[in-house]
Amino acid sequence: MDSKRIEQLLEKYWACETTVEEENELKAFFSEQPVPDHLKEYTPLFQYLDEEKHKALDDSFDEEVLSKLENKKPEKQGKIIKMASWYVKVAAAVLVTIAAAFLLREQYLKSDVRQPVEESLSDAELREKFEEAKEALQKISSALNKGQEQVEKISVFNDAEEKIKGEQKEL
Amino acid sequence: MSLEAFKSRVLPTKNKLYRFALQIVKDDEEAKDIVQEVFIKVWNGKQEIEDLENTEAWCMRLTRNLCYDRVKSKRFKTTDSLEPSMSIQGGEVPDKTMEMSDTMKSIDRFIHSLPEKQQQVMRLRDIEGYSYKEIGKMLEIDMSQVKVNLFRARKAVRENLVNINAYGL
Repeated sequence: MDSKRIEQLLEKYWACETTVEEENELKAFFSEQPVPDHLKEYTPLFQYLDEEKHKALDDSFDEEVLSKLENKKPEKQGKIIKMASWYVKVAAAVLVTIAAAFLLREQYLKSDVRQPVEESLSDAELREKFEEAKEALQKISSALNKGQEQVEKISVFNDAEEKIKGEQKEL
Repeated sequence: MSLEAFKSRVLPTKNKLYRFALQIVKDDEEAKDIVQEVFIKVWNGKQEIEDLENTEAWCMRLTRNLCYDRVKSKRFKTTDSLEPSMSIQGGEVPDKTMEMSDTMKSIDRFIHSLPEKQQQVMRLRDIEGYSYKEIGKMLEIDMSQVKVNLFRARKAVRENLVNINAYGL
């Protein structure tokens, strides 16, 4: 084989740009004798890579594994039993429908839907609720008033600022 | 999958898996045991696997995980109990053969001393001949990581070779 090509392949190899085929070409080249002197230093590497592939399990391993697998048949899948014919299917469907209807009816009768959700309040209770609401609103109102007083104080600053701006413009 | 299909499609990957396991657990019997466990798992879950390419990647991943589990659960001796038994064929002078074998041994030791990712990528590529994509799938890393690790590993090996030649290290 052309040693020039091998040199090129080697450069590509170190740069990780070789294809698997080209790498095999290199291995083949270095396993053949004689290798040119200037390339000899790479021989052991490619021979090593080639040799490593020969580390293997022997045939007794196959027998061992296969005998284990044969003893261990794969788990059986669940069987699907088919219904005898179409009228059995229809009968089953009808049965399911009837059962469902019956159960739903039971459920409906048990819960008395006609009952009003909430009882109405008496007049006295209503008045009490009204007073409570009024009191709450009043509290909110007084709190808002307090807030407004504070805000008015701030507006004094605004007025002052306006005034200063005005004076500055005049100047 | 029938037993026949298993024999023709899954069983032939045994040596690749074995070598991969061996490199992690560094124990011959342990590696053998792991490959066996992988095959039993494949057999039990065989409806999941369809095409061969994915089967192989799946087996490799399974092997790797089992190896790590074992290494974790046991404190493995990291001493190099397995010096590869190499036999060099060809009608070379015995002296020459011895020398070659020594260099190869030291390459082997050096590759064993590389960071794990680099070592795995280099072995999967340079010994097993997988594509970058396949290696990425097996090691669950992306292609750029495969390339980076391979590049570093080869570079380190090259430097080591230069040292061996220059100083006989």
